[in-house]
Amino acid sequence: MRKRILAVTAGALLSACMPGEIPKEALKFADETPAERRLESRSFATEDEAKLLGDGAAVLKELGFTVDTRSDELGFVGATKKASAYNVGEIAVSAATAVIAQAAGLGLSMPPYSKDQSLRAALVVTPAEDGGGLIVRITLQRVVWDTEGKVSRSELLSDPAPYTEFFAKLAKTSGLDAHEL
Amino acid sequence: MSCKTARGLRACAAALALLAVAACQSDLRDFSQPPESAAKLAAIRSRVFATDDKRKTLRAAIAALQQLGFVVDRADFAAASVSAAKADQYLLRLTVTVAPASAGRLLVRAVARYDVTPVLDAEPYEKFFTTLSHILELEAHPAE
Repeated sequence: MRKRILAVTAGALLSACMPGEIPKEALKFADETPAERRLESRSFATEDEAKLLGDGAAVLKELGFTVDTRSDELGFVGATKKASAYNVGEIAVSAATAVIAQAAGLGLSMPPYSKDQSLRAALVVTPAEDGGGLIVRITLQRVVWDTEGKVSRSELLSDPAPYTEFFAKLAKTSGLDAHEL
Repeated sequence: MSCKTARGLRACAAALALLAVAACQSDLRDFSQPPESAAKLAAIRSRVFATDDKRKTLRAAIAALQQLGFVVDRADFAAASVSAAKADQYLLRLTVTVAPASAGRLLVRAVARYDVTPVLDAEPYEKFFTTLSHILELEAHPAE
């Protein structure tokens, strides 16, 4: 009996000290799909890359983003927009879990729930491969942090609405038509 | 063994296990086979391309990162560096730097980290350099 208890304790000690592993899926780099590329890209009939990049930065600001970095040499603008990620439903579930755990005598505190989120935009302008005009590509990523400060969700926005809105505003600001690829 | 002693032992074991959980660090490790030497790791992370066009190479690196599902958040031409986080795995970051190798050739170095843990697995680097090579339309040569 004593040996078994000691063995279980040793096992718990060892397993507690084992570090976590990098998720295997994180290291699998899948190629983008043509649909993703089409969603995020438009072509513009202009050779003025710096102006189109500047117009793109202005549209991002208009949409509430803060431009963090810009490189005219590399045709790149990076921007972020921070917001609250509180969700009444999620908080209610978290609170209910805590109440049930207390009632069951487990003494657990309230599980973490979504608190902050950041929308990250990467805007890249490149010459079109056929040599005519420029391609603008914007990638939108949503990152959510929970009440413990850990990243609870990270995803590429797949809803077409924010992309459509951005390109419509960019077409208006630049005075050029945005063509789908 | 008396019932009282067994209860005491169980309580001690539980307390020790809890202490262990609280005391131990939970940092991440890449459990892939580590490279045999620093030189081998550098070889996994580097390739040489027959071009001296730093701008074109950095732009191709940005395109490669986008193609592989990364969101670029830093691009610095002067520092010859671009950095991106994977869209669905925010903690995975790939930083690419470009430096002259020899006449007419550039050394491209990629370093992947998951949070603070360096990625030692060769596969993600291989995939990145294959994509970059395709975009640049240049062969990726091993770094010497």
